[in-house]
Amino acid sequence: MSLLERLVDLLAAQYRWGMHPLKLGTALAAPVLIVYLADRRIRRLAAAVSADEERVRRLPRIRRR
Amino acid sequence: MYAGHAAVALALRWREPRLPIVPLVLACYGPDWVEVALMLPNPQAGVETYTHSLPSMILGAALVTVLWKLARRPGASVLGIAWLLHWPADLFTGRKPVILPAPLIGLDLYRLPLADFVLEAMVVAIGCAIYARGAPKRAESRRVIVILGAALIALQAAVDVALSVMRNTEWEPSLALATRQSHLPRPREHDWTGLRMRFALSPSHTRREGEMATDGPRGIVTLVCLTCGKEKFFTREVPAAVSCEQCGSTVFRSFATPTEPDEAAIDALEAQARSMAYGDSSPDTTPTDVRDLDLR
Repeated sequence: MSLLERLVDLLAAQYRWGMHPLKLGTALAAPVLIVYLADRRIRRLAAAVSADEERVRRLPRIRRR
Repeated sequence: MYAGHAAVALALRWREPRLPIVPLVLACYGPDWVEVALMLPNPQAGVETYTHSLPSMILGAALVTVLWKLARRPGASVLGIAWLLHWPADLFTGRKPVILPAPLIGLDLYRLPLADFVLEAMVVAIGCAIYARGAPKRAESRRVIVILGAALIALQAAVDVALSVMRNTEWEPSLALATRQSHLPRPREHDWTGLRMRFALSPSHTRREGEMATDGPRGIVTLVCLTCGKEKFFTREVPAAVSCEQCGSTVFRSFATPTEPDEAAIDALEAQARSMAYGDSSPDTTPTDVRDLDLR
């Protein structure tokens, strides 16, 4: 039996047991977690970009001193 | 809809960047979370009316908006919109109650997993593209958004593979229970062309025939749950929305057993029946098989 067939059998067995609320909850939590992690990364990037821009903006004043 | 709800959250985030993403995604999946919460003490079918019908959607959205406003956080209305958008999004993939448990309406694309995957992948791509407009214009952020979209599409693919494994191929889209009616105008007197068209497009049976068809032969209808095999019997009419008490599934295979003599049923049984009389030839039995059976 190939790995794919085993996976399909496993999924079929899961559905034969019925969809338990805990499984549903896990399925719903997965996209929330993915979106949260990606958004956190984007926010950090945005903060770094704005910090860079601020540093560049202040650069001439520092040189003046 | 599954991954599509997350895409809706990403698109709404661009509209209100001050709103944290987690409450926004939770609101987009809000009715599903309420359904899970209602099923946690005792898994049961039929809670969809309290979570996915239009009144419950409006109530949930209003509640979320008021609570967020009371917390003096920005973007309360966006949260409410996120909750409300759950209903039209689910209309594409499933069949949802409007007000009461029946009728259920929707395009029912979960029964066509490939079409569901294509639709949700497109929604995810559009959601990510809108979200990218609010992100810094750097290669790094573009890479993160591509990974985010790919992860959501992969999740959706896993769900659609699971749905196709259920071999649930009976697609039953429903947007209304009304019967088909011709849009052609009533023909004027002596306008034979229009009259012919009306006849050609009108249903082939009369109202009387329709009543007879719904009446049909009396009998028992057995619904066998495709998930767990539990049987349900109906002697009168089968309700529009039936769910299994054991596993909560809504997919059944139906068998009709007539209990009163009916010419069509008798004819069908006679045509399918095989002779059990001694000496009758059986199409697939060879003389050797018969000899072997006699020896036993």
